Amino acid sequence: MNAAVPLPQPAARPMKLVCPAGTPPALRIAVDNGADDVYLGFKDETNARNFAGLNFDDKSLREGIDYAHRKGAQVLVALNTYPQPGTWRKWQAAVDRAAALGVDAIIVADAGLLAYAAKTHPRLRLHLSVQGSATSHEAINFYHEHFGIRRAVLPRVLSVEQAEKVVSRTPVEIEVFGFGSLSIMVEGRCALSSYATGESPNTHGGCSPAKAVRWQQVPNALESRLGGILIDRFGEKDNPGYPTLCRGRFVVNGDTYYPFEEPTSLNTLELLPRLQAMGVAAIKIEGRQRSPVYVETVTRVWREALDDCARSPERFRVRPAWQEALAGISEGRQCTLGAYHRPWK
Amino acid sequence: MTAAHAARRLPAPLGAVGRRLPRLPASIAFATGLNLTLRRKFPADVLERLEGHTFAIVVEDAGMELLFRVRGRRFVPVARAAEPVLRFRAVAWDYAALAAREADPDTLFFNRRLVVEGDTEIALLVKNTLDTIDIPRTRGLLRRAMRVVDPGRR
Repeated sequence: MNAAVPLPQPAARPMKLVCPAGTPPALRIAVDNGADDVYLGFKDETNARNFAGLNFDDKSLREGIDYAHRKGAQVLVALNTYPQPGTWRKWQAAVDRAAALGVDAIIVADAGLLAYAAKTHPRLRLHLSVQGSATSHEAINFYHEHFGIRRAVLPRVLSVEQAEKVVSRTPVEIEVFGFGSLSIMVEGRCALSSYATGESPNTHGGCSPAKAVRWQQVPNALESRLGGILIDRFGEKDNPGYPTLCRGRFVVNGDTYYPFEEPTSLNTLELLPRLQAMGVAAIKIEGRQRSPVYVETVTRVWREALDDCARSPERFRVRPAWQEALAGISEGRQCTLGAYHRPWK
Repeated sequence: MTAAHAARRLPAPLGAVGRRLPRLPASIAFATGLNLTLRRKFPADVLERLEGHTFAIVVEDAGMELLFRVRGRRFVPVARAAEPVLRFRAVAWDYAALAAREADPDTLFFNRRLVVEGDTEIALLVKNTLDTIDIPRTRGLLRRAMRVVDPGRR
């Protein structure tokens, strides 16, 4: 493999806005508010937001694709969990369904599935999922050379400087996360919740399966439990977060705190000019499990911000109204730059 | 709208009156409304999953608890329930904002303005199903009504 791939990414090209849709109304709202790409999943464990009542069947996906294409947007299908030896055919069939329905790309993590898609549907555009956990240009170029991936979603573990190096050393379009709930680091390899629920998010499509979640009001507090394990206890003035192990508050050596990750939301608005200048191709918004109202708010804000940035990056300023709107829908009501900003580095 | 908008509460005397009213008439009116606006929009497999379960909607500032059960793929009012499968608690304004699709349910939950007690799996199924349902006329009416009450809304 040749690791030294040239740099065809032209600088300062406008970045695409990639928005989530868990339901058909969310898809239409994302498109109406300016999403360039909308990503979604089927109603099963082939995607990482496998929750009851969420996602698309063939009919609603066909209608969603028609709607998006009429308005110039593209539809990407996330097949971003890992098939097991006994379930391979289900994932394979999902690739075939997506191709037959005419989606614009599939977002895949598993190398076997990428190989199948590249061989069986050579005209189907392939994106490497964040769950693929490719954090170096060598890894991304490997996927490019072997499976022809056209875009890779960077895991949320790289600093801006590290992301810049990756972008400059690969011909593959790079998509980065811009906004939404954070996930435990080492994406695609997390098995934390399987200790509490018996199900890994990477094979069953959810790190807090609803059947394992219990919210319980106790005197002066609200408790969340996952598989019986106390995840957090919220006082009257605390804001609850999603009940996942990685956002749990635990007692460690006598101190009670969040040992893995605080329940906050990523927000990279202030980095947009730099991301655009380094040649990032697309900004991804997290939240397929969220409502159409969330999708509307976040798409509207990010469309305006990306347009401002494309018009005049040197004069770009984050508007207070954007921050206020995003803070109002954030998990934990706090925003962070996550790994992009590492003062200790 | 986001949770940054404060919820409007009904005048306290209204809640005091509400607490003294019998529960069943309000539940009948509510279940009738559900049947007229939502029943045909609910996927059959979801109604089957909800069959036999009782739900409680507590409107805190109105002093009311609305109770209904899913039976024969219809919403049926009930007078009392020992243990509903789900109990929602919020003020009338936040329920209206949710129904009008002007508030995000997760945000209200994060901010302790929507309390959900009971079976999480069914709660998620109900939430996600409601997110898939289009009732533009009803939502338009609700939004107009909310702007009459609060002209400062966008």
